[in-house]
Amino acid sequence: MMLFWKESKKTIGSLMFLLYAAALLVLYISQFVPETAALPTPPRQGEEESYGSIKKEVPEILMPAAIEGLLCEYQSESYTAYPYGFYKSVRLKEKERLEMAAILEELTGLTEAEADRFKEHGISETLSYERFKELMNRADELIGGGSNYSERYLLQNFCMIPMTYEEALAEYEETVDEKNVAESYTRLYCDYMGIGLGILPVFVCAGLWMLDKRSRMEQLIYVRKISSAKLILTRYLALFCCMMLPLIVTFAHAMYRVGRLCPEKEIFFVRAFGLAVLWLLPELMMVSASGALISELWSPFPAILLQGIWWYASVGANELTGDITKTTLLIRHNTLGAGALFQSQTADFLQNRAGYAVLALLSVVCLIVVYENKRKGGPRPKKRQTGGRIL
Amino acid sequence: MKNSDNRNQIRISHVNQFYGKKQALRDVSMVIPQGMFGLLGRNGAGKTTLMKTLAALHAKQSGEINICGVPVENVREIRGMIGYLPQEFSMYPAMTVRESLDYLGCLSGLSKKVRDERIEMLTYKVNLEEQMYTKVKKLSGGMKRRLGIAQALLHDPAVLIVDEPTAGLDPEERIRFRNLLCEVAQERIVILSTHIVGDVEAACGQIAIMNEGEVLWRGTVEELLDHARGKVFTADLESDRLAQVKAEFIVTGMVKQGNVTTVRILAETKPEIIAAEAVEPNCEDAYMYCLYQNGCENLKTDGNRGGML
Repeated sequence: MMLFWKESKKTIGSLMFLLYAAALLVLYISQFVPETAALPTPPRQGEEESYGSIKKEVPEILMPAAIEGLLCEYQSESYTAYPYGFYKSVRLKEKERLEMAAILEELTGLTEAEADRFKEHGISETLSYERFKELMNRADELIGGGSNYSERYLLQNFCMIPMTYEEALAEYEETVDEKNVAESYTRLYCDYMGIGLGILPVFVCAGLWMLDKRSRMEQLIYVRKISSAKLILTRYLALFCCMMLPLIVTFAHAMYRVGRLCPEKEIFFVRAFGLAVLWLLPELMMVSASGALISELWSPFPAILLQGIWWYASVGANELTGDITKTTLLIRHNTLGAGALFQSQTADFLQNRAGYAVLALLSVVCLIVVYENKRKGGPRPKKRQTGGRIL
Repeated sequence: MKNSDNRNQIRISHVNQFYGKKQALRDVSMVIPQGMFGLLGRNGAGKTTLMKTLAALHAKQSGEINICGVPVENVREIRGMIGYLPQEFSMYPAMTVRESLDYLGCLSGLSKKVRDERIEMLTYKVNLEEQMYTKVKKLSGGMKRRLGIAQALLHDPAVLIVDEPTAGLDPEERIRFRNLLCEVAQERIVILSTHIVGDVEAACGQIAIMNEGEVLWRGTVEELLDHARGKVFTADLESDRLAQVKAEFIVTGMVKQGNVTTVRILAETKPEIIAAEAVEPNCEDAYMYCLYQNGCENLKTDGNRGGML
């Protein structure tokens, strides 16, 4: 316990930690706090041009829109894809182009020469929704994955339909409902803070993990009696707990502001806190563990670089709302509403977070092994040639 | 299993160590008894490698090392028995002397009560009482070295290993440091690695001379001096003969007074080309003679290799 406090003191006293806390605070104040200025207003019937849009799997809307998109890209001979979260323009080879033409013929019931008549003709009359999904899946494979026709993007790109007043009102009521209001704001809080947690902890980790080397303390610590497992776990736990502090403070402040917004309502803080813990802790665990592991294996620079690439890919990989996958590091939900959409993805959310928590713990185990190996002198350092004359 | 005969000594048998293809230790064997033991050698002789191997910081490739009855492979136990002061070290600069000792005491598994007692006792012993609450970054080089000794003794180790601790210290601080080590060595094994012959002469009962990973010589300082007796000569030379003498002999000392230079040289027999007188060897002479006798290169001041004495 004593070592935990000493490590915590060391962490909190470091410049990197102060910068980390300041950056999270800036993110919180600039992004989240303005959202808590007032509760959102209910939709007003007949007074608004649009009530927003909603994602719905309606085959009658989805199929023609997606087929038209595919046809358009086929004719321009260029397909847009995001295979690893980054934009890529794909051009098909002749063999694949011919297969794509056959797919389009089956989807539209038109030959390549007749394709311009698609708008009047519409989709093939014999095309079932199941067959449509199979063909789109094949089209996505031909493009190389991550295209607009992949299972993930189909709904997102071609199934956003305008909300009715009733739907908008229902969503509003659900958002500000006594049971849900704290969770609604927590989702938004986690969305903003999650962006920061995807990158900022690596600076603190890398800095602290290299402190021994910079201070030339490594060998003094290597020869101590403490086991590598105890030392690394204590350091990691202290680092993790310290990095939680700014989150606890900002979350408490966020809930205080939510409470002030709805003074007449009973706010379910504990549920909201549980959601924030599930959302943010695995991300913090993962970024800290990978940062420490890579810093120990190589140096802080690759740790920061790799985390930067991962963060950038994660930020660009998902839609701002309702696009939770099992693998993405950053979970986005950049809206106060859409609670039902979030609930519908609970399984993916839980699998994602559990996966990262387990991966983080595995990284810590690897870190212990690497550290113990270093303590025993392996891998062998390259010794500098020393000449040296006595006289 | 501990053997009562081995409890106060380190036994090293046929130890080899490699850095890639370069062999850093070659079949090193010796017994290091309680007290001050000096490891003498040039830079790159293998002293630091041997000490790191003893401190379980490097795994040996072959051979056996037994420290006070414990095989060096029992890393956990060895770590509790060894106090180590590396050649290049510091501590967290933002911590005070007390905080840094307390932190390292924690890592050694000492209770708070024991840490408090030992920190007080050791800071008194190394004369850092007044700097107890001074940050490490504000300590002088000598103070840092003394702090280094204090941290190495914190857990009362049976063996203290110090790697070139006096390098960069002024003469007064060096003497103080040597005396401190001698005091410490009364109740444990202290291995002092250095390339400063004077430190070994002044402080160590037993010494070993290393070169290119091999132990060239092992014994007491007196035995080393005896070994070089009758091989050291002094002569007064005109300046124009100096270059010739430097080319033909190993010169261990030169004092210039006007046009005459008094040189100390090593030779197997009394040199005939100059009027030289045999003198008592000092430790530096003996060390140089040992290196020469074992075929070490680059001993002459003009850089010519080999040649006769």
